[in-house]
Amino acid sequence: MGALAQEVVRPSGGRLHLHPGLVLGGTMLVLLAGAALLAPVLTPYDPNAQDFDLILQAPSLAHPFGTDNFGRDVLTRVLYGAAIDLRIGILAVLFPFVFGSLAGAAGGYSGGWVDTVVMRTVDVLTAVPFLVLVIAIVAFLGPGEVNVLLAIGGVGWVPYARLVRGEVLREKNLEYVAAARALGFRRGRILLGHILPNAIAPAVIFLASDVVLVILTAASLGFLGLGVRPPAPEWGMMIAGGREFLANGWWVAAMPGFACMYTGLAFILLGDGIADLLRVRGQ
Amino acid sequence: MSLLNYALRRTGQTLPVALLVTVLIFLLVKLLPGDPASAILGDRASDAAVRALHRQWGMDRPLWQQYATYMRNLVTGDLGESLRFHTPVVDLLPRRATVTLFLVLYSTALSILIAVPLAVGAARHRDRWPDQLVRGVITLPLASPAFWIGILLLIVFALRLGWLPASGYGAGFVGHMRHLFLPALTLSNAFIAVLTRNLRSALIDVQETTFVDFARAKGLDPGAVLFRHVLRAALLPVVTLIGVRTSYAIGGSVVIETVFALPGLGSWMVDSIFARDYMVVQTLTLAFALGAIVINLATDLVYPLLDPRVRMG
Repeated sequence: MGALAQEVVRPSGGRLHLHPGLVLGGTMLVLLAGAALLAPVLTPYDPNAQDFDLILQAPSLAHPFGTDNFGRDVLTRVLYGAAIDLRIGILAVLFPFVFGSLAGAAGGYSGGWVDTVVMRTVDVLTAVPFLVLVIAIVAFLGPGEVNVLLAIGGVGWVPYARLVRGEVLREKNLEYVAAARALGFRRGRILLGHILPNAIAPAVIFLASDVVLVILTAASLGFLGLGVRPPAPEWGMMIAGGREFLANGWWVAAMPGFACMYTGLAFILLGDGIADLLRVRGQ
Repeated sequence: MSLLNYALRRTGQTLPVALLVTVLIFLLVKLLPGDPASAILGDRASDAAVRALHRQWGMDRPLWQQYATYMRNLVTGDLGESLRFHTPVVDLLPRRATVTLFLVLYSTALSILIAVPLAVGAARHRDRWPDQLVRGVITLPLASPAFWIGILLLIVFALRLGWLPASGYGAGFVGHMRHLFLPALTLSNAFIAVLTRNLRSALIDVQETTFVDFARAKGLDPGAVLFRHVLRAALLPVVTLIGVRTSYAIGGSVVIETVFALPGLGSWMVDSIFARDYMVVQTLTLAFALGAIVINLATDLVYPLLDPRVRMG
């Protein structure tokens, strides 16, 4: 991260050059995270308080995103929901990133049976469509946030393993590795301390787009009723709740989706920025 | 002859993966906590009753024997019975699979029809406003939940404008095309984005190669150069994408079929999950996986027919 920060504020000609995607995406995310944390201050309403005098009110000044079929303020629920969807999005990529990178690195560096086991597992998990496998795992584990994280984590490490393995295969024959070996360093130290820092860039670049994929997957599970349990204001589940009122209350289903799109765009911009920076650094 | 070798080798690589997928899905049901016996008998069933059903299903035998039975049943077409419909799964499968297959192929066709003109337009006006516009707009579906895009399309084109039906499969080929248009368009969104992006950069790369300069220098008109030379060469690397993205489309169909109430495999899987019809969930997971494997294999087998360089090499 230190190296990244150096790149962001690389002084040149007395001016700071900031990557536009990184700045825009970062700002959008800070705003969203801030709104999620400050939701109790930002909105006077309770996300789960029902008010049957205010059922399916169209967007207005008092309720900018309208109200749903229980008279709950949709904007309030979207803000509280941001904490849930962001939390799932970030937690659900952490394990895959760490485990996948280590598995791929171990396979690529050791070769032999370790590599065979890792890569055959990767092949099998890739053969089943991602969403189908995640839904099947949740079907057998039961719904709920922890199970959603387990299901996504259990399948989501595959691309990281593949990316890091490819890089490690290339790096391990370079001279600095031979030098480290000649100096008598242990295998673990060479792999983790020397090779991995040079092999991790593609996995880091993938991380941002993976957060988007994971948030959309979690929203899909919520939409199907297999995600976080109600009445938690998870965006996918809110969209599902609005399906019955498309004709007379389109905002109930539409608004949480815009929040989801906003979040996705923020991470895509951030990811493009990180990708550009790491590529610049690599040259 | 080398083409036949390639096809045999590629198919040979697929078989062990397919076999391991059956192991994975078998273990998924065995190792995860959900118990089909208590699902049938209800939560308040006595332990003895659950054990009796386990014995009847052979669930008290060693795991490898259970897997052998599972495989024997699969090969002989005994896919178990749907608890909900009291019908063998094998009888329900073909009708349902037809709907999903229609949807996935339709969405692939729509993706190509929409992405090719977008990519050609963007590449022609590289870095000018049409290019910027296309690149900006195709980012939106990548950031949005597909089922939500489906709901927006449904609100606008089915409920407000009344141009297209909001749900169901329709009757006859024309009816299917009409009913599945919105679902297929929904499913194709992400693919359109990925395809446009890749095809655009491929077009830009190809435009800068010498054989295109040569074609232009021969005095061919720009349209002929574009369609006969540039587009043909640029589409090749994109073909492999189709296999990968179709696998995503199969996953997406589970959710999209639910949005548009389509009687396909995906909505059946979701219904079965809530009915705790575990056998059906297991069988459908396998059906989706094998479908994806076959489609990926098929694109890989078609590829050398299109690209003479692979055919010769």
